[in-house]
Amino acid sequence: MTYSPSSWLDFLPHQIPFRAASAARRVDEKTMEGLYICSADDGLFEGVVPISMIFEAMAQLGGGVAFAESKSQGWLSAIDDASVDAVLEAGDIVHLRVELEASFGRIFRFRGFGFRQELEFARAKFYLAEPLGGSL
Amino acid sequence: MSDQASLRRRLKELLIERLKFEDLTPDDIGDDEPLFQGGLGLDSIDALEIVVMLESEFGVKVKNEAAARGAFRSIASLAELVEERTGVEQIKTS
Repeated sequence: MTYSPSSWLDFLPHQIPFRAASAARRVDEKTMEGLYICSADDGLFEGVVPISMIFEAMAQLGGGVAFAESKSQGWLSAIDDASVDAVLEAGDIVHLRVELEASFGRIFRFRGFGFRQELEFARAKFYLAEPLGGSL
Repeated sequence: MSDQASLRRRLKELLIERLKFEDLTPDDIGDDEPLFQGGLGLDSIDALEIVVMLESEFGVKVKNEAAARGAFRSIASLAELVEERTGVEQIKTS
């Protein structure tokens, strides 16, 4: 079965108004890519887009990998080794890529990357957890 | 130091490194000290890191939580798992 980018958005654990990604594409069974479009509605601080939105978008895309089959929801449980080299402004388009590195039980470890104008500017390791019973 | 003691010390070093216990040394972790629920107080994220560590360092795969329950009790039980799956001699020469 193949999915269009718009249909992959349906696999993300969050939907409008809480969904951060504007596009999503499942590259393979462990990798998801997507877009985050920075807007003036992002709660700008002195004109700067909060970088937490990028990590939230990464986590939501990871949810599209970890929970695509179970259709369950989950938690962003931890972020580690996060770093950012750029300031984002309204109008920036961020290309996101998340890769499932490992999983055990209901815990999933991902590596996420953010690119602006094809240059990597953000990266993080993050963990998602699936609750007992598969939903919150 | 015996092979068993060397393996236990190596596991402690790896735990400290992988779980970023910057304030601990191998001597601070008892061989039979519980890793979870009291003791070191590890959680499910740490369990995943232990699974990854066992596979990358020793080639030992842990299939599921049931298999991990007993083996992840302490450093001593982790060492038993590694010994059982690989043999100390193999670890010593790898």
